[in-house]
Amino acid sequence: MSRFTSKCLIFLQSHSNPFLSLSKFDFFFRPYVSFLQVPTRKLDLGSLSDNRKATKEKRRVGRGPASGRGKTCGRGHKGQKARGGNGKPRRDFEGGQTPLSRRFPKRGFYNLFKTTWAPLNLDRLQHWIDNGRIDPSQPITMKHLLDSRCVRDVKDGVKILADGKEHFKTPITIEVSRASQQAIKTIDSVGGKITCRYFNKLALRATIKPEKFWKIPKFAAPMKQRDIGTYL
Amino acid sequence: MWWAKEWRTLLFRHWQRQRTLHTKFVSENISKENLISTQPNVILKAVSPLPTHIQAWLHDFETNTPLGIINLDRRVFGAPIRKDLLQRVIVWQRDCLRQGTHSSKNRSEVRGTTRKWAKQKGRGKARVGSHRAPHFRGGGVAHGPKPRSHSSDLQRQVQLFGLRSALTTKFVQNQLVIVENLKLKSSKTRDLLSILDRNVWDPLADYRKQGHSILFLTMDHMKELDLASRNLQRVHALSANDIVEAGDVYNIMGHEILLIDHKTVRQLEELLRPQ
Repeated sequence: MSRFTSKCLIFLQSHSNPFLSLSKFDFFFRPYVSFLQVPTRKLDLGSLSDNRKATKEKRRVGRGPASGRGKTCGRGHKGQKARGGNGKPRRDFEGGQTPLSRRFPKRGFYNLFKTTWAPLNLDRLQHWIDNGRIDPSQPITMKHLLDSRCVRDVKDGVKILADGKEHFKTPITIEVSRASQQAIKTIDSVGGKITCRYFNKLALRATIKPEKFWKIPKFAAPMKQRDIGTYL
Repeated sequence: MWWAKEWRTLLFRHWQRQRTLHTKFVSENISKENLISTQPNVILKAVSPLPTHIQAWLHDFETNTPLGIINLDRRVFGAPIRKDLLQRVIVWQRDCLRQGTHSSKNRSEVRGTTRKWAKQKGRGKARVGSHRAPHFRGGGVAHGPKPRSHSSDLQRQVQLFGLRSALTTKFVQNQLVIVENLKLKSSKTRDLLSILDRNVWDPLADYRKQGHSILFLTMDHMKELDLASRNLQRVHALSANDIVEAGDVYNIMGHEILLIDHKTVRQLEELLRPQ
């Protein structure tokens, strides 16, 4: 009996006087019960604590027999596993035999400065505008292109190409990483405006996923000579 | 228990009724231009049954006379109080505050020669190399502390949740005072102290050695308030932006009373409102 009464009291708590609302069905007309509860103990710096078992205690090994992990530290007696410094062998290790990666000569190289553009042709852009998937009255950024899946993946930026330029009719304002000469000419002749802008990795992420940023960062200007040459 | 069963069924019916009450049908007119748009014309919206606002008194700073009642955003000043998150944010903050300049000398850094201290054989004692090895008196420290950063990472959402929880705790425990503005006539500590003494916001001030424990939060840096409170040990003036950017739960919980002006309340609501 007492268990149930205690449960009921929790329902009846409210920020007004709880003793006034003790009649049997009073709480039906109080939809906001048990909201804004005063903590049972005053909360300040002295009374804070994390949840139980939120952090794990480090296992202290070799601190005497009473600890349970004293003499052999839970490693058993003698042998390879009892010694120090023996972990799992590295991924490429073939038991001492020359591994595959070292058996054959090196070939090729990894280009640190490689950039891959996501190509976007003008006929595809026109098709998206015709279907109402992109709004041509607003300035188009790479976020709109990605969100409407006009490009599947913005790799290091979008490059606009001029395939099907004879179908392109809509004047648009667009800002992307790069564009071909023909594409720029076509967009300008239709009456639109295109800006090619330098996006470093952070700027690209900030344009595509602005919701992930607490503050939108300042976009960096191109610093390297080859970037300055292409954008100015 | 027969009555307990009855309560349960009644409660269930009540919940059902609440659900139907708080769902709205919103119809949208379809114009000819938007015919292609993929949005459906009827949207089912679930509305939270909790109130959107809670009420608080607005006071005058100098005289503490109540000027009226203002609405506070429930999601910021009536957020759930998560004791564990408050703890986590404060531990994170204090980790970042640690100086981390502790240092000790290992066997290579201790002054002295590394000459072999005794010959290898024929002494009848243990083998000895350098005399600065960790097991010798005056030797180096094995695995001793070295300067390092103690800072840890905490998710932005947890920081913000901690701030909301901290503000709510202050509100619930009657430690939050909202005033019209915090403008002072002079930057004299004497004048500020007389206001604090007169209005008795901090009831424990007389019992405490350091006096009043109050945190002022303003939108911008207030020069006069800062100068006046600078020599009081437990009275500090900070700006709301600093608090939010640093996830500063430690200062809010570390002061007995939180004094905010009306403008800053609105700014805090805007900064901390969950998306």
